[in-house]
Amino acid sequence: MAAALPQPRIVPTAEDAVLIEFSQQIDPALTPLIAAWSDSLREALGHLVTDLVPSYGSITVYYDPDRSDFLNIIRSLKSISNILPELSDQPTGRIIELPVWYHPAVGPDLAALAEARQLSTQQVAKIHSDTCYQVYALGFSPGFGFMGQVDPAIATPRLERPRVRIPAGSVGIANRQTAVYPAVSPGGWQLIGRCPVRLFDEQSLALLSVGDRVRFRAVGHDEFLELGGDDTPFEGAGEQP
Amino acid sequence: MRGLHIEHPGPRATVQDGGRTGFQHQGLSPGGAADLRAWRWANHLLDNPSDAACLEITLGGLSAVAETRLLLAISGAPCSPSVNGTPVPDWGTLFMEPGDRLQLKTPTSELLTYLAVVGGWQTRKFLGSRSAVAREGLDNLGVLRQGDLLPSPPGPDQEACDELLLRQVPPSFRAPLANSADALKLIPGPDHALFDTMDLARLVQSEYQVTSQSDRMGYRLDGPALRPPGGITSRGVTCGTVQVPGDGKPMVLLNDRQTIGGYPVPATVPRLDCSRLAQCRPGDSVRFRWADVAECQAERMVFEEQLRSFTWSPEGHLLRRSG
Repeated sequence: MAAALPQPRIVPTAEDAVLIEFSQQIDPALTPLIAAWSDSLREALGHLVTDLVPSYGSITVYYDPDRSDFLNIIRSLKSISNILPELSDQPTGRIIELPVWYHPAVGPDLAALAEARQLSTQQVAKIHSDTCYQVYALGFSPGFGFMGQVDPAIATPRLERPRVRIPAGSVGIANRQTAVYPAVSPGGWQLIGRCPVRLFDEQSLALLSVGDRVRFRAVGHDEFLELGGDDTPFEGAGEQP
Repeated sequence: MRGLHIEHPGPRATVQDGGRTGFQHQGLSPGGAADLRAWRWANHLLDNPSDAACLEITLGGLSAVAETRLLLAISGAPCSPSVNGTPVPDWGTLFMEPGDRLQLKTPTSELLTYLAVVGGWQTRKFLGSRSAVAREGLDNLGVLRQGDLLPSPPGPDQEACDELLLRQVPPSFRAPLANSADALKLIPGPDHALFDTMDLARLVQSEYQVTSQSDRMGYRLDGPALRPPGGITSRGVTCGTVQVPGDGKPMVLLNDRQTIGGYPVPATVPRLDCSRLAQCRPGDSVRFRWADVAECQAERMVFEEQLRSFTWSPEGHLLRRSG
């Protein structure tokens, strides 16, 4: 199926970067195309490109300004972009299953979210794990994948004040996005559970790529531990954010 | 073990090279030397590969003892370096015998001092780079601690010492300070057209102060606020990206930035001017002026050409390469 692709804006944004922007909106349908474009550009311009960052509605192309200049890069991008819209918009990424132990001990915001929506914690877990999520972008920290769309029934804003220390594996919601914290870090997403799978390590690097789809699977405490999960209760579980 | 034993790292010291390129799509920050110019000169003083790893020292205060013979170069913020109490040049090479102690005082101006060794420091390499991005928490790629040993390659031989020892970089080749009359350049950013024209005019007509919320991730500035337009989704951010968050105060992202950001971007500071900004301390004032990409790329090319074309005479004078 041929892609109905908006003509992107291609502009230099730094002396070593050009932005290719399709849309300012979050659009799950755009992500497969952005992923496919990124692969093609990497192949076609690999000798000039130093970094290529796909994200939501755009791709940022970094190059070495000692080896090329912005006119040359823009010319290359424009000529390639003329042939790229033939790309299929069928999802090309992998489907990755991530187990999650949805429990207040490791998901300090789970109970309050369930109560506010007049749901049980099990219902929140079911709604969260019933959706197949698109990975829109990686960022914030190594391996951190921004995914959507979260069902409006459990979509909830970021905390007013981010927590200082969130355990690795914490599964969070921010508005209609969800993510798993790959490592201990500060963060403001509302936490509903914990995933035993490592999303980044030095050998295999990031588990997720833009364009992949993720399905969460609710697991019990025993299976969580068997899969290598750390069930240390969230320290600030009782704190008022 | 060969190398430099760190007795005291000062307020903050990290190993930095050109940064970890090629992995930003996985969320890995590139890191890298924040003052590109001073870092490149430190390596150039030793005829090092241009990407060799240096020590980036914040606010001096470092004290270290040579485990073996070391030929080093120093550049960046002037911090009255001395070996066993004897002063050595601020932008030049220096030699240490085993047991010699190098001491750096707090710099009189600027922030970052670079310490290079012949062949580059041999700390752990991860994905092609030795650069430390402290918040990423990767093993042995963090902030230097008391008692650490910075490993150095074998050498130098006597010939290299004789050839390199008198080298210095004249002041005219260093960058003008950011708080001078020479404004930092701004390339119009991806959201330039969405900002109010009066706000954009104020950005280049006003002084901005460096706040204490400034580090290798980014510099938060205080001065006239800009009204941030809404409706931006996160996209790649570069070294020098100027973000305008909700409070309207611009923030310039630097080497340890996150890889994507969702605040509107009116402008980007080019890399050589990021180097000048990264040398500013809280309280310093900076000014901006508009420039285009072509001007900034030309400046970068001139800098690279300068490094390629200048070398030192055996007497330590900087001169243009013949032929």
